Amino acid sequence: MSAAEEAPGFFARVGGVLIAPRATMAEAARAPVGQGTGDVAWLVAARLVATHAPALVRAGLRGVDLGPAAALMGLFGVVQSALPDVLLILVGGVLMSLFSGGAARRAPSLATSLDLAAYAWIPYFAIELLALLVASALGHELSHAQQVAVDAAALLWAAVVWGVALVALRGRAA
Amino acid sequence: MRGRAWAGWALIIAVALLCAWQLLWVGRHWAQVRSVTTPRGSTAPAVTIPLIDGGELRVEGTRGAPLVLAFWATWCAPCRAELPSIDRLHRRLGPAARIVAVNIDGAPVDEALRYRVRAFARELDLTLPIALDGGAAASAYHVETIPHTVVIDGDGRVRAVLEGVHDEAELARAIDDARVTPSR
Repeated sequence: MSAAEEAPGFFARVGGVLIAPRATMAEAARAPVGQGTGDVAWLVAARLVATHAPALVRAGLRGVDLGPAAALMGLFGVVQSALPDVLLILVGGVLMSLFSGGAARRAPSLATSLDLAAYAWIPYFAIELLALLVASALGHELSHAQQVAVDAAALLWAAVVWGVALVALRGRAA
Repeated sequence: MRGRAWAGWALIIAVALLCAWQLLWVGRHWAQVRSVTTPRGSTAPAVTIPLIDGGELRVEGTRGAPLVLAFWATWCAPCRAELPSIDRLHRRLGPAARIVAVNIDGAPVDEALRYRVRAFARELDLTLPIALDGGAAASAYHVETIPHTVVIDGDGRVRAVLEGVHDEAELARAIDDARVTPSR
């Protein structure tokens, strides 16, 4: 098997976080810097389109009716909704960097920590996406209690994968 | 590795499905999605809004001078920047145009709100009439962001919708257009 065949592609990297987090995170810890945040940036953008399509269409229509400034304001409102996800990844990345072993143990850069934290966000994304799909298929919105349960499950899975990523990072640094 | 790729594909297919679902919703509710603003030339939605100093503003088959509804709120910094120029226009045009500042701080329209709005008007030295909208007018005129200004001509038709901060000259031009050009 050649080195090129061994390097996982986008789908294998993203899917691997869900079904083989240990192996995927070990690979991600050795991957080029920026790969994780790059992959997840696409997913965040896809999530915005998938969950805010009507708002995006309205932003476009506002642009036609009221000018580009109105369209930008609408677009800004949509992009704003991704801020919690970005914040979650940033905080996860900074914490991972802090807990990764320190400079004395050839600590990986903050960029690599951010890459791994970005991958750790994927389970959160997957659970929220699944819940939205089920709710859409059933034709009703999630109740508050259901939403809390979904959020808790999503965060718990993401936290477990974050822990797996931290172990992989410390393994690389050791 | 192939199994991992399938999981990735499943995730992306789920995103695509949700996206298709949303676009389908947009198609089914097109009229609702399309109504992002009050269309120019359309009849101005009929609303009645209480004025802060008593009485009420009735927007229904307006006849005579153009009517300007300037939607704003006390917490809105751009509104604070724009309102003095609207007030200057109100003083300059006099009875040639009826300019009303429609506050949308929100329900309930009570004494506390009146007190807050009066204090705000005093601070900016505003002299134009102020109406207190509990939400009905903002909804009827599709106000999603403020400042949001609607110019209605003498025939009761919407002639201009201005979003964001506009200077005195721009608003004066819109009012002139509403006065001069017959609407169809």
